[in-house]
Amino acid sequence: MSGPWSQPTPGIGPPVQPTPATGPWIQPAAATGPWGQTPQGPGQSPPPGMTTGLQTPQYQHAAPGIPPGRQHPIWFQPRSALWWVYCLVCLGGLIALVIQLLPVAVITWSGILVGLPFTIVTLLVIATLILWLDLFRAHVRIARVLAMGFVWGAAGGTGIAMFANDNITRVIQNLAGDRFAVDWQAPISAAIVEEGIKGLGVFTVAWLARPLLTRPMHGLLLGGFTGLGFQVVEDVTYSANAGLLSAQGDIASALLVGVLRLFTGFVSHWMLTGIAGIGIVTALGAPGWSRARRLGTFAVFYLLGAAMHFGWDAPMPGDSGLGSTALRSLIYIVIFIVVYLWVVRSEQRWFRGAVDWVVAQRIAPPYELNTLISRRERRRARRAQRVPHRIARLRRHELLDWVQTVDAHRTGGSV
Amino acid sequence: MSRGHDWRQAGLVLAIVGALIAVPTALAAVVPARDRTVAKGEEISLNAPGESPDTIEFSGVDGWSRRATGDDTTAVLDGPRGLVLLVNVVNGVTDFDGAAQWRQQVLGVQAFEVVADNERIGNTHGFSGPTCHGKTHRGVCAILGNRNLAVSVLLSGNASMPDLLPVIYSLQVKP
Repeated sequence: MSGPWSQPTPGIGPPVQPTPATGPWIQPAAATGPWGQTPQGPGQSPPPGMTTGLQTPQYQHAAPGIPPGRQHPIWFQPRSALWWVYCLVCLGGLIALVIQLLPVAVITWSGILVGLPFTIVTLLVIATLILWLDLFRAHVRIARVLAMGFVWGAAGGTGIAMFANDNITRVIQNLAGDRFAVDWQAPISAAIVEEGIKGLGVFTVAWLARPLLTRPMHGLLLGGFTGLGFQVVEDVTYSANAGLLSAQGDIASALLVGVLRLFTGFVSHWMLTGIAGIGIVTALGAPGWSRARRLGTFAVFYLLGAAMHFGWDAPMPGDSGLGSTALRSLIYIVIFIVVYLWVVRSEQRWFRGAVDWVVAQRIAPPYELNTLISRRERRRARRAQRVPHRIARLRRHELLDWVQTVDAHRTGGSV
Repeated sequence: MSRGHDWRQAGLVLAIVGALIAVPTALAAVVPARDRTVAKGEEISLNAPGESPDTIEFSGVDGWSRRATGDDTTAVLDGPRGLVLLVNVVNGVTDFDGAAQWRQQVLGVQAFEVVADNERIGNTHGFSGPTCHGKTHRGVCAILGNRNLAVSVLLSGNASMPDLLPVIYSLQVKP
């Protein structure tokens, strides 16, 4: 292996032999480097008649989920006290959930079964949406971390939140009376208890996963999946409780709740905790940030998530049911888009930095990597290359995963 | 970050989880119940959103102490001799016999398990339905229907049906 793009980089490991061509447009390997092409200088375009198709860049790396220096994978860290707390909270929360839900579920199990397909669809659709938002496939490196967040939200979060919510609402009723409580007990309790327990899950998992999580997108993903875990279990509890509130215990009420929860699921816990997660993760892991900047970012995003939860549950003047829900959803989607665009900009800055480093280290040429900077650039490149969408997507995933891995080695958060 | 040196973080997380559980529990125990004594002749209204009519009212609990519930569909009142009255209204009844059976089951979650008496009771305001009594605890109850509404009335403690009659007889749909 020789040539400017195949220099072994300390900490990355030498490039392995290029794999066979992954697409019909890839040049046969006169491969002298990981890109399987005649070496070119940085910034140079591919020669006329030559596509920018590359061969699989591969770097040797440790088993997934086990950063160098660790004896155990992220999801199993028996030497970490925090990991034991994580397990304790998840197990304790699950037991609390079962104890609280079981008496209801015994008589409303049919409603739970009716709601289950909607819950599963919610899980699949929202999980797909969260992953789609991940422009540079940051989730691939931290899939197990996201799974841990999901488990906290589902098992630990809901059981504890149900218990605490009950007590807080009782306090509010006794302090402020029925009229106030009917309107405000839910928003107050949810903003404090539910956002608190989910945010704590994001903190716990992010700390256990250090130094893997450093960017706002990591926070959005971890928060999103932690919130999604909470959301789907909450959907089950709503399906169960629908029967208690119905006149005849028929499945129609569970069906209605399932449909409503599915449609409002787009602006539910995953979004709120995703926003809060941006603040928590960057406060913990963003490299080179001052303490004030970390605290400020944490405060802004965590409080924004909590305030949005408060606003969602709060009564609106002239509340007209579906109309006000639709209006609130629209407002929340706009807020989320603004936050998301900020996250995307920070991801693009990160990507440019990673590509610049790769190019400076003479590991890879920039031209194809630069086409990945945005969805628009990707579409443009795909049209120019005239390759099938499926092939282009496979190639894109391959390159993005490679950049994520290289960057992890570069920044010390390797997998 | 080497593993095994995160005691501070573990303690912090455990403390916050403990606070989320313990603080509301302690506050709920410390804050006195916001009971309000029902005035003589006072009518208590409950509302179950949905098709009209959606509001009922009842009386017959003069001097009883009404607890805060934070729920427009439910009233809980403490009476003499340790009696506790639960009144709950639901909207959307299309099959009252089915609704009566279901609401008896739901009383098992809201209070305690009850069994039907195979007797019916009614009032002059159009409410009628089966009576029941506690299975695991002492108490009497009735599920009363009127058009699209079903009302569960349960009196727990050393109570008999005559103790519940003033409430049942006063029950009416609020115009």
